[in-house]
Amino acid sequence: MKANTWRCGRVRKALDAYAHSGLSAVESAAVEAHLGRCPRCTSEYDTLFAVRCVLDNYPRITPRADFDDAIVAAAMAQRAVYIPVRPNRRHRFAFSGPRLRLATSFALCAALCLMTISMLVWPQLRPAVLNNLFGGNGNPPTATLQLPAEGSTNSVLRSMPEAAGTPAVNEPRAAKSHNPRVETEREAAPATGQP
Amino acid sequence: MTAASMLIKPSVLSGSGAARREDSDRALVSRCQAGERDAFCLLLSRYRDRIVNLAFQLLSRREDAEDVAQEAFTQAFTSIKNFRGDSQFFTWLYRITVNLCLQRKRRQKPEDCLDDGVESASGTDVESQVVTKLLVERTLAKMSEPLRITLVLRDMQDLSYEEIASILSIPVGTVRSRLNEARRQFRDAWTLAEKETAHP
Repeated sequence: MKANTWRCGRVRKALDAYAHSGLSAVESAAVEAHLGRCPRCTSEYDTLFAVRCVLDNYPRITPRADFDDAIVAAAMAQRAVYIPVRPNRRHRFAFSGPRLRLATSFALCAALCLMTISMLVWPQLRPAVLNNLFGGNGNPPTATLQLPAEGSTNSVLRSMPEAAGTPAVNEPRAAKSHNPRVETEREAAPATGQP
Repeated sequence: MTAASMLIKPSVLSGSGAARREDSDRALVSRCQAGERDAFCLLLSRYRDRIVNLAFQLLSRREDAEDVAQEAFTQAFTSIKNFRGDSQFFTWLYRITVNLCLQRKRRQKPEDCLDDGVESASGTDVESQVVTKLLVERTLAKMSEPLRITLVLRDMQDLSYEEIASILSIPVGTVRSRLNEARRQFRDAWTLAEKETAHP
């Protein structure tokens, strides 16, 4: 190795080791030779060394006398409680922590995908499915309201308050549950006599 | 200060010393995992001072430093069965300590930082040490957390780049760039703090 061929990049990488006496004699000589002719690397080394000197003067403390005993006692006490209580990692429930989160996310994603697919596919499948189930034109059978025949007990009871000249008690409710299909069938019923 | 007038501090541990320490640590950790209390006491006595001082350098309060060091050793001992040996024992211990210090620091009020911790005998020494300590703390406080921790680990704890990278779980290149930036910021802030102290 030629001692005088070191360039700035290499020297700067070696400066810290040089300050810590971590270089061989040849390497140290190369660094020193470079520092002698490069003001920028010298400035960097001065900064490094100055900071190190300042931080070296930071006071150091020695722990109090009972420090070790306190730690050993605390560690032993914790260990006595800790070891039997904590289960071995291999014997733990296999589906906990990250695994559980992963499985839950996967299940949610799968459910979401299923819902999306069914929403997209259902309008196309609907007629075929209904045909298979109910036959005919593929429409489900509509429920018709079976009104009682004219003159039956219910119609008599319904007409009683009006006949007596008193307002019907359940009129608002009847108005609220107004159903055009019911009205239509009610109108059609007297003509045919059949519901 | 110039490069010519420097006094180079010898490295704390040479390469072979570090390897010996690592082997010895591994054996002690195995014994500790088997439940030997003596092995734990040996590990404790080996790293006690460094861990307490690391906590002191990061927290600046003696009581907090001792509390955190105690908690770090207790945590290390109780969970030593989970230590797989992927890293060295002492980098694992340092990582626990740094994390605990960061947790403590976030709970700490700024005015709590100004504390004693100086134990030299003579009056002049104590005074200069207190001044140095306060100036260093103020200067370090102006730096960001990653830069401060990297600087403390390197220039106060004398750890290698690889060890710092292992403790902080970052690449060695990042350690290098953080150190350069940290030293530059520290030098600027220190110069400013010295001027303020000289001409308040």
